[in-house]
Amino acid sequence: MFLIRLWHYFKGYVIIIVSGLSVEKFINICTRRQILLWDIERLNPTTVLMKMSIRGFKNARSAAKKSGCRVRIKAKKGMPYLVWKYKRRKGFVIGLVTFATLIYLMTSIIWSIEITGNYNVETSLLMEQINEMGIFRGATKRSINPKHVADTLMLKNRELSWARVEIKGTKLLVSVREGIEPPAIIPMDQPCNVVALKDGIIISVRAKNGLALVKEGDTVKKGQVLISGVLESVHPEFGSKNVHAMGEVLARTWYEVKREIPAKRINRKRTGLEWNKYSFYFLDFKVRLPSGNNPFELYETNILDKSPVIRNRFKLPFGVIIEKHYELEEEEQELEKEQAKELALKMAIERISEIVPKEAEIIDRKIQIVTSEGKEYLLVTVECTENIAMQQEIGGN
Amino acid sequence: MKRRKPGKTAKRKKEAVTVREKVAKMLEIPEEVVSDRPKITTVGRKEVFVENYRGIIEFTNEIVRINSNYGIITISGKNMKIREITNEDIIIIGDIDNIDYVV
Repeated sequence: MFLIRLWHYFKGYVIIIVSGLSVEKFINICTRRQILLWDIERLNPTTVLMKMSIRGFKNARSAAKKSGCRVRIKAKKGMPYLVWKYKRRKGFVIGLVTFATLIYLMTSIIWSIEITGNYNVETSLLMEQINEMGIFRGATKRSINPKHVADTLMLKNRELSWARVEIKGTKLLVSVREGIEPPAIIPMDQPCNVVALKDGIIISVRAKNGLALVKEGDTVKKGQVLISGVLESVHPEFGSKNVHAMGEVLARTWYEVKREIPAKRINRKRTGLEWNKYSFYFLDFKVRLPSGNNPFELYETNILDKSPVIRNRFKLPFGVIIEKHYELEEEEQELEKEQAKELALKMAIERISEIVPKEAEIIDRKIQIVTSEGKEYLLVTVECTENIAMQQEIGGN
Repeated sequence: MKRRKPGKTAKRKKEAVTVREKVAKMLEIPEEVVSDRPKITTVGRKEVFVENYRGIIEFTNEIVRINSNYGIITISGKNMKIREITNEDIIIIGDIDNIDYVV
């Protein structure tokens, strides 16, 4: 029923009021002329309300004359009437068409590229590689094959372990995961030695396979063989057997960091003078607005992106960039001893946490002050226990 | 269906078996396909479906009279409307009370 109604609406129909003494005759003539009538309703003894298709209505005139009825249109319904109504409004039609094409064009290009998940690989590098493939802001969506882009990124960057490229609306989402390069694992059937990863004093040796060459208390150097994979036979005539040496060697290791204790510090301060540089951008095109040259010798810059944002989420691809330049002046400041020491210690500890591996357990920390060549240095020594075993092929370094 | 001159009431046939119907019976074709006898279908009391009719004689809210080859079919009830009318069939809706043949 709904479908039929939709069809009638699509083709267009008229609601007519037929009045006369022989309305039945009118209906009969119409049906015989293949005119479809529906929803016929008697209003009063002389008038009838009915619906009729547009095409039928053209033929109904003579039927009305023949049956002696008067036909009056009550309403015109359906698509054709709407079309006729809007056909005359040219501006409206042009606007509608322009709007539709604009929407279509605007949504068929990439407006922004988002790269997520990279820590060690530079975003700019990935962006450059993406641009090389002909994908940039303003590129058409149709020209992008997401799978191909992801594959190319994976091939070009060894650090990536996974990449996915997705087109979400007008956004190109590039999500990557970085993998840690696996250590070169020596296969189990390959004979090897266990050597020291760094200098240290052995605490314990647990050889799972191979012959332990060091014992507790020994001092070892980096690269020294700890557990040998070459098993010499008791009887020299049988020669030797090579095995895949494995084991855990805990050792005490030291890390040292030296930092100068500064006598003075240079402070930089804003003088309060500032100069702004304005530029307008659209997508990746930037136009600098004339605003003179930078008058400062020493300055810091603050870049503000003033582009309209819709609902805190969607950034429009155009706007104004304000580069604020603040003039700076330098000022030397004599540091007190305590303050200087604290500063040096802070820097040293920062450095220590960088060089001590995560697996190592810190058991002791010593802070010394040494003087050499008239300068004072802060020396921080950290003592750790860690596993220094590393497998290495026999004969290699 | 055979075309008939509009407006004229043809002479009514008796419910006799014609040659055409005999052939249809022999070939096991549904009779209503070949015969010109009217077929009336009702669904509940709300809808009457008349096929093989020849024209409507009277149409009001209370009574609808339909001409057929075998007499006048009178449908009476309340609030009756014609939902659809074509050359072959007519659908009447409303609160139907009676369906009569007047020969």
